[in-house]
Amino acid sequence: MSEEIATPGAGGAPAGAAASTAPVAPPSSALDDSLLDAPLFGLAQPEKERRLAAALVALTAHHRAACPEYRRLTDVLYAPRAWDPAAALTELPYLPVGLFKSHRLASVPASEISTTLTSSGTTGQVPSQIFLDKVTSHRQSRALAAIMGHILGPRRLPMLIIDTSDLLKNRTAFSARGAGVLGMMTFGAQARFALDPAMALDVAAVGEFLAKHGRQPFLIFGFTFMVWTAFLEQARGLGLDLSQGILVHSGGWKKLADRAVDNPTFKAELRRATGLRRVYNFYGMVEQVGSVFLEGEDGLLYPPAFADVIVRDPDTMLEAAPGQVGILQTVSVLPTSYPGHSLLTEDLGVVERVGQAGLPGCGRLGKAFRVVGRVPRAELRGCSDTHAAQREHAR
Amino acid sequence: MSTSAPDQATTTADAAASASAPPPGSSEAAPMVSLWVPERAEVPLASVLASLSAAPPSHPFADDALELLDRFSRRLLADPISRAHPELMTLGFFTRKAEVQRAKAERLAAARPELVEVPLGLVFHVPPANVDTIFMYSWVQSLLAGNANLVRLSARRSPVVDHLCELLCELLAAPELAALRARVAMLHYGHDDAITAAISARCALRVIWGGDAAVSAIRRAPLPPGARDLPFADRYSLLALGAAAVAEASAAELATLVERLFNDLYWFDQAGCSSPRLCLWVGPRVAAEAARARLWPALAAFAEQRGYHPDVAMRLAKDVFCYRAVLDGTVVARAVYGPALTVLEVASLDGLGREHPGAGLLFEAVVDGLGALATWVTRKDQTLTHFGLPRDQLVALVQRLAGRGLDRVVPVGQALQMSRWWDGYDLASEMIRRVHVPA
Repeated sequence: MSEEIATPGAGGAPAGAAASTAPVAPPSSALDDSLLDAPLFGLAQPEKERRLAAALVALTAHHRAACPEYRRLTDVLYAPRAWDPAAALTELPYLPVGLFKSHRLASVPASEISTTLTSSGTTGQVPSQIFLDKVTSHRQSRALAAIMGHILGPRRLPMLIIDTSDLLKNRTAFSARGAGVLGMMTFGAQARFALDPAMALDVAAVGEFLAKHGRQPFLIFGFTFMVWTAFLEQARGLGLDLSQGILVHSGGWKKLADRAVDNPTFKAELRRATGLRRVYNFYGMVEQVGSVFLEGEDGLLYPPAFADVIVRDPDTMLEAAPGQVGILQTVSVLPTSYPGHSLLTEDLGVVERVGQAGLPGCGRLGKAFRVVGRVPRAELRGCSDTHAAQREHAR
Repeated sequence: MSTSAPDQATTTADAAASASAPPPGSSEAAPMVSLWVPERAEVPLASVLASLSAAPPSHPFADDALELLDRFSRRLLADPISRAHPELMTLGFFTRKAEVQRAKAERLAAARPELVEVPLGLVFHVPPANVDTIFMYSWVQSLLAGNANLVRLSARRSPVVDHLCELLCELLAAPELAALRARVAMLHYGHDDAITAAISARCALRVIWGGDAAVSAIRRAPLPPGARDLPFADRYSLLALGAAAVAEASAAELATLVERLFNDLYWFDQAGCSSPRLCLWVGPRVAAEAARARLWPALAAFAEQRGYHPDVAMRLAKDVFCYRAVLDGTVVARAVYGPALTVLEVASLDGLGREHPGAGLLFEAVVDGLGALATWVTRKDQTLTHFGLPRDQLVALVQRLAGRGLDRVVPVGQALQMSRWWDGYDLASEMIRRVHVPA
């Protein structure tokens, strides 16, 4: 499931490690890395789709050869034309993200797995398990560096983290939140944590940070919900000056939607209370780390050159027209160690427009989309009254 | 009375298991319940139990019960609301005068002179939250037996349940039904173990619907030593179609089959225990191929036309289920006939589990004969619906299973039709006491 968990550099340790190690040879299959070098938001959609489709067909062949479960799934559920070299992007097989919760799917031998990412969105749910080798980790951090570089510039900026350092205390078992913070720390310098272990604003730490770095650009990173509840709501009235800050945040809007806070409100309030103007939300998931869909100045999300979204009509599962809400499928050329290059999420989204040269929209080409929310939970029917029974048990 | 019931429950609970402490607060103050039938009121549980036990005794097929059901049925069948809710129409037919008289005649015919049938006393019904009309079937059987009845309704109200309760309140207000009125209490209370225990301690029979988990949860409340549970556990159901019969059916026959299948599958999002989840094509593969090429598209089109449209979450769950089924089982092909119907073909029944997402998914297998079921069926399997298969084959299967599974073998279209015969019980018979008075 698309946890919308911010794990930009996932398992920060491997991401960081891979970045500083010599690149590892890619798997034998023909990997087209040219999309990793292409201008991030500069490919026109038809060209992008053609190149993505070719790269993903090759990846599909790779995973079919390397992952017996993936081969069985594609053999039974898809016709061979889905991985024909001439296949269109929308014809490629996809796996529901929920499958990574129930099954171990890897395209490399166990001995080559360097990191296992786990995530569980809601309490009590089974976590996804994502198996990374050095090649995939390296590709992920390379991709992420390109995307973050786009907004942060080439230099590592001083970094304020809207979280507590306690998050990183247990270095062997990171939560998805910890992994996200650690991954992001590779793009900042002299990091300070803005919250104390009780999630209260550490006014002294923030004050010191701003006194030292507040007059040049600096990076702020945090989870959307934490930024609002733990930071903004406590920082109001303190007169903090974050006008030089660049906030990167993720984690989903569900909890804030419950408080009737949407993206425009979020940004307006931050600006009013702290002078913060540069705010970038991103959409990503632990099942496709590195494939980050970053917010543009217009508030819409933009897929990078090496990834894309396809909105599918829930009735027909065919691609929905721009403007029509449907289920989000995300594709990415990054995953080689597990068959996660084409995933059907449990999120609803809408493509607002397809950017073309000369048209408005941040000067970015390709799809511009919004995440509308989670697919609403189904109401259970039937004579097995598990809901009532669970409540009975709970007493 | 208001104190003796909780006391008894506490004592027996202590003796049985000390792990479940009584919930704080609920047993000290007099617990309140929301009465819905025979009138809407917030009342102390103690007064409900007191008036039920003070009600004048009755006997099986008493005139006032027959009169109430007759009025109820006529109102329901004439009501425009019923047209929008097929389950209300079915309930209306089940309670109509001719049907009740037929049931009575059947019982009289089977009566033995040395046995006098009398009511059990108080029957406690715990129906499921999600199937709106089961509480009525459970209650009607017990009403006809002459029992006093306490029905616990779920907090999850629905227009159907509200409508039925209002109708019953109105009909029970008739002065000539006052005695009967005293024997009915349909009520709601929160998940309060103390209340469940207090009622359980007073009843002669406890009817628990809602599957394994609900049965286990309710069963933690002890019954009086001489009382019984009538538990309805989680069940699985399947469908057997004669391949040749479907392949060769006329257009009209096929249309009838499709409509009946639709009712069996989709009334409760295929989540009812009796809705089929596996389809066996009995006959040669060639015939089965021809038959399914006719049947599935027609069924999907009919479902679409009837407006059956599982929501996005259900369909995603169905989709993930297919992927898991491929990895975990022997699925050899998937056919998607739009949002309402997905069919997963399995090479054989070996290794086929009973997990199911509901919302219009069938496993299918082609078999030479019903004998293929002999080793697969377990106690969990409840209903086999059938079409185009001779009765002697069905009887032979049941005999061969020898009680290892299957409690109902009914024609297509009757999967969800509640009857006196359910889960291997004769409900009518379970709800009476037979006193032996030899000549």
